[in-house]
Amino acid sequence: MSNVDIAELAVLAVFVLVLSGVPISFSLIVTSFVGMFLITDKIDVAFNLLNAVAYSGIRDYVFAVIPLFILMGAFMTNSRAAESLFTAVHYLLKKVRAGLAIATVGANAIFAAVTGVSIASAAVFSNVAFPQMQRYGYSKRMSLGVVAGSSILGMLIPPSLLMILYGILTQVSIGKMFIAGLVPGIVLALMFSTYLFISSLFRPDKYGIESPKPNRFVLKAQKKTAARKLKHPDQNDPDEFSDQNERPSKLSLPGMMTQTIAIQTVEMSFGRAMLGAVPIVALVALVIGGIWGGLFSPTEASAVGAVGAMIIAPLMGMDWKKFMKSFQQTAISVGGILLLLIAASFFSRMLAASGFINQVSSFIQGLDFGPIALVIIFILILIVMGTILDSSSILLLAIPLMFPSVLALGIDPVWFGIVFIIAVEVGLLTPPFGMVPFAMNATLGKRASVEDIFAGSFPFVLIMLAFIVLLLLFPGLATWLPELLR
Amino acid sequence: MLARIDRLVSIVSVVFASLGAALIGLLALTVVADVVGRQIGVPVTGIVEMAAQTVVISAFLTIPYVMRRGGHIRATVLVSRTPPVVRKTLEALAYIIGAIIFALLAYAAWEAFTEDFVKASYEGEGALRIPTWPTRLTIFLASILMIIESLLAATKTFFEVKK
Repeated sequence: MSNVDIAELAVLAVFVLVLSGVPISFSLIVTSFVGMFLITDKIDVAFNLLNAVAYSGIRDYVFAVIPLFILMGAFMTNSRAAESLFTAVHYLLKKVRAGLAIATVGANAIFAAVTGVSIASAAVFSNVAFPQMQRYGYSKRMSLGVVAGSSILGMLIPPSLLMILYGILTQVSIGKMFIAGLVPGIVLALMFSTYLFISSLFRPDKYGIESPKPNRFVLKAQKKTAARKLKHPDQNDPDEFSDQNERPSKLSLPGMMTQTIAIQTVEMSFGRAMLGAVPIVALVALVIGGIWGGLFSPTEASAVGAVGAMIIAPLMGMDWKKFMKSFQQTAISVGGILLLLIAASFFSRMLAASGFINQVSSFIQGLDFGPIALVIIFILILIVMGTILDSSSILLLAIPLMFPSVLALGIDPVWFGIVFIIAVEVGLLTPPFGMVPFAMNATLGKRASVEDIFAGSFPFVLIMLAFIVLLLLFPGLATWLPELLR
Repeated sequence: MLARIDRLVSIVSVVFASLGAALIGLLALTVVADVVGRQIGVPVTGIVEMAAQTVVISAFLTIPYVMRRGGHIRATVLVSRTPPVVRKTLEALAYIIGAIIFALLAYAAWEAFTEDFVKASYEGEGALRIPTWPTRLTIFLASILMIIESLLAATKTFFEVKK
């Protein structure tokens, strides 16, 4: 059996193990160890490499960016950041058609700048925006689709965990990836908003426009608030922010917030509506602006962001319990992601040692596709992978195999990174197994079926695919800003 | 008996993870201190090397707790559609694989630890030299804890299947 045969079997073994529900990091480590032993025929080599990846695989200053941005994200997701942003954007858009839906997209775009994980955004906005849209008579599927679709901005607008991992794996500067994501993120958010606006002209009933009569949600909510105000005249709806529907679930990833909220946005004064959003926007400006302005390295920016979030969240009313919960969630995500990173680097070193990576890239280049055709094939593979795996695992598995060919064909690595991320995110919204709808279902429980969420996100999937086509036609969307700031 | 061991192991894992999380918080503060220090002309030495070691240490400290909380990323899409017996058997298999790989790592890390400890190896240069053995030791201890957590989880799954 040749070394390449061994590597092929190892790749197959990983797929079998992963689909059997073995944690992805475990699957990668066990196959890499066995593979390395079979390739070299020396057990010592396998032990040495395992030890080396465990110790030095993540032992670098650059890697500090991962736990620190996760810490910042955990504090922001557990705070009232998403709710404050949503209130502020909704206030600004209250006279606009489909304003509530567009506010969800806008708030998600800003929230994306304090968190790096789509699934966390989806869970938070399921609690913040979905009940509000229901209350205002928006159709259920539409409301769910907006939340699911706009949550993918979390991975596109910096800081983004996927961009960090991509940068680490490919040696592309993380700061450059962060800059490159901005224009695509904003354009995609605008495309989502335009779609919502136009669609509300054709189907106003879906956007609660032709129902001036308050529906039962409104009546119920008003009755509840009135009753409470009678009981506690000077208190500000304390129950509304309690964990009413927290339920444990396999999919409850770190960073999920379980709050039900009733914001009486429309009656608020301008100042009060904006007040909550100010510290968050300031933090975003400091962290992202600091990277773009060359003031901070990504690692430094992540530390500034984490410390800033730890200060802002308690000021916005985070209690001790939530404070500790943020640390707990950080511990869970950090351990999971970093072990995955160690495992992936073990796996890719084993594949490299076997000669498999060279074989794959010479095979791909031997097919003699043009760069565009190749990227399209990669996109299709990524979308399929996105329906089974989570986005970080896909990136860690696919990049070592795809990236050499990307470089060999002279494709811009920054541009490819952005296309890669959007393609993976399309997969996360695609039936039957895309992860975002499942995460939302885990948060919303019986209020929303997975099928409804998939159906609602379908228009957004189409918009994202259209956006990928735009990126293929106009690569400048992703490359213009990083080149300008170089 | 099993419940007792489980509670004890759980405490150890929580202590490890708390240390890990605290280190991450501390890392954030140190890096910010470094940024501020440089602005006012008082740079903190050795931050880069210390941050690098902290990433490894905090990762391994949290890994056993992640295991306990079922947080290691896995694809459950197919498995969740199989009958409970199949699902539980596969789950037990996953835990046994976990125990095996961390036994391998514990073995490798112990050798590296004793070697680094005897030779007093360090990373970094100049004013701040950081010994490498604490990181090696953390990897070893966390691996041992992972073996115990994995075997415990496998045992618990086994009893669930029997029921």
